[in-house]
Amino acid sequence: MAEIKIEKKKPIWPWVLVGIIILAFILYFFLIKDKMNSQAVTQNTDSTAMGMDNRTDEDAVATYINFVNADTSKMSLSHEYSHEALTKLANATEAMSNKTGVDVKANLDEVRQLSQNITDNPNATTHADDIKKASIIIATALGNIQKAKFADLSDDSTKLMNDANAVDENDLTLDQKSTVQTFYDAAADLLQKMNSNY
Amino acid sequence: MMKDENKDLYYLHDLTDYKVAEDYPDVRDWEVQDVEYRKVGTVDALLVSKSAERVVYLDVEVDKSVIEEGHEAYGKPTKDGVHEFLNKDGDDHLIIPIGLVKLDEEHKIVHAHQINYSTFVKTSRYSKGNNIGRDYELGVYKNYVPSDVENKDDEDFYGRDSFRVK
Repeated sequence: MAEIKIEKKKPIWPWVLVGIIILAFILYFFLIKDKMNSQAVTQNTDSTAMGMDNRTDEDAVATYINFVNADTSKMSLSHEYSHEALTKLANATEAMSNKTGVDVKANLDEVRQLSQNITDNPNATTHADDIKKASIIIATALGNIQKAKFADLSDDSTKLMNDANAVDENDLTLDQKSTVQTFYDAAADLLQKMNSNY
Repeated sequence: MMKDENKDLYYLHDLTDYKVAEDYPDVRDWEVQDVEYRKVGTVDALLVSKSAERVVYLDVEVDKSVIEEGHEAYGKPTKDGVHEFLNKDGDDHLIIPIGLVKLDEEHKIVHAHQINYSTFVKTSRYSKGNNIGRDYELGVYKNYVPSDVENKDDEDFYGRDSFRVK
């Protein structure tokens, strides 16, 4: 005697449902991930843009002027002070260039790099040379702005260039800190006048 | 009273949401042999009782030899015996109650151990695709098991021994 039973097939729809859920989860995971990544990129872009804005607005000029006028005794800290002063001065010069719409035709990034060299190699004896190169670039840049927009500040511009040239690249920075400080002060003075006259 | 149409009898392949249960063999395409192990055909389909959830008949496509033997039988004078059924050309399928066979799973053979060759020859056949009515079932059943005097009612037709494992 034989017997063959039959049975209902197991419904396939639960497996289809599971497949759809897994697929949806995978899609959700990748979409969210992509969205988060794009948001992160946007945020990074935004923060970079904001940094650029900060650097190019009037705050950059004010930041440099305040820094220089705040405490000249910081010169004893040489490396940090020079680095900070030159960086802020490059930012302020770029901000003034943007504000006035004058192409300064100067490599302000080189100024930032020279500024960075001072802190990267604190024991080097070439800081005065770096400062002088940076100072000449800054004086040239601000001189171009002055010629284009501020005719009555030619004396200040000339003084700034003279102060930049006064830095002796063969002397230690600490031995000529007053000379260097004079340049920083002159740059602050010129920037302040440009800021108030524009 | 017998119905012309059996509402509980289905081809398994028509019940798309049913299949042969696990641990049971699917005997479709298995060879069918008579009591003397002579091939009479091949299982073509399974007829199931949906309510009982089991196979009740094997639908067998019979060999040409069985059909030809039938022609010879009908060609003889009536004095040699009266034949209850007369098969037409193209009628090459018949049904076997599941309880009248044994399964040789190793060799994939359905052994109709209670039915001889001549019984198969004179069994009423039908063409593939034709509906199977209760009258046909009953006629075939009496042909296979003439001694069965059970008087099961229509609802319990498949409760007969010939449809069950004892």
